[in-house]
Amino acid sequence: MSEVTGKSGNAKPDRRLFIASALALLVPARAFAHHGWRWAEDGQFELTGIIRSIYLGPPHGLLDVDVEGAMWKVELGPPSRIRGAGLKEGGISEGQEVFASGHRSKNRSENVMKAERITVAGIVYDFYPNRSG
Amino acid sequence: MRREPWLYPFVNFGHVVGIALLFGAILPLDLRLMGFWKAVPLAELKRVLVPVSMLGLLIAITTGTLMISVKATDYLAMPVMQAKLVLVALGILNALSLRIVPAWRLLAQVDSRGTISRFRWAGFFSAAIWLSVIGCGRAIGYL
Repeated sequence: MSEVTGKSGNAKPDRRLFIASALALLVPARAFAHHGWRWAEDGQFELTGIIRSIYLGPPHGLLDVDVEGAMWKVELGPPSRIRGAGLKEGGISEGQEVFASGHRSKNRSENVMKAERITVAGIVYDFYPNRSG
Repeated sequence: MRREPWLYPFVNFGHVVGIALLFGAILPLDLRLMGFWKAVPLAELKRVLVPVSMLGLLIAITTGTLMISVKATDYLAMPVMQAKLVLVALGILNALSLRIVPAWRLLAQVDSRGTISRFRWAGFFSAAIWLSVIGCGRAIGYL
């Protein structure tokens, strides 16, 4: 390749490698703790599954949910909104069924959503009361 | 960090203050190295801006480490975080490398007006690296 391109042959593959590496850096290995809603779809999205792990700390809460064998990441709001919804550490536990309503990631290859509200054991925890849907 | 509701936001605030001190101090110095404001003696500018940027760096590293610690494995697995850490290391090495340049060490004794090619490059790399660090940092919350 470098023989064919002649003089600039040495510089070009390097530059291509550099650009490729730079672009590779922009692709997330796994998504979590997004700011805002722009990364998610507009349409309402809902799921029901079994809670496998619970994180209610900063910067955002996160539930790992088993939906009929497929693992989903359900992002919650920041700790202030989690407290505002009345959800405390120990208030929900692994193995419980959760219904989550919110918005799915625009990246359909990942099982990720951000919840506006979740329901566990009949109790609704509304993290974003001002967001309809 | 998870027990006290105000702790994480406070550390987050401190991180921004650290970055502001670091970048706010280093950018004028970088531009001077690149050849702006040649009438201002570099030795005096350096005497003010280097300690301020070092303080900022120290604050940013301390608070940054604390914020990573809440979900260390997840954060360190992110390519954008890895890129940021490499860039921070490069930025520090670039700054330290100036200390072995004879002209930099003798800045107070020699006529410091003007600049040299080695300084121009150091200033350019510094500005580019720290700007990229801020970009990577901002991206962490959105990827």
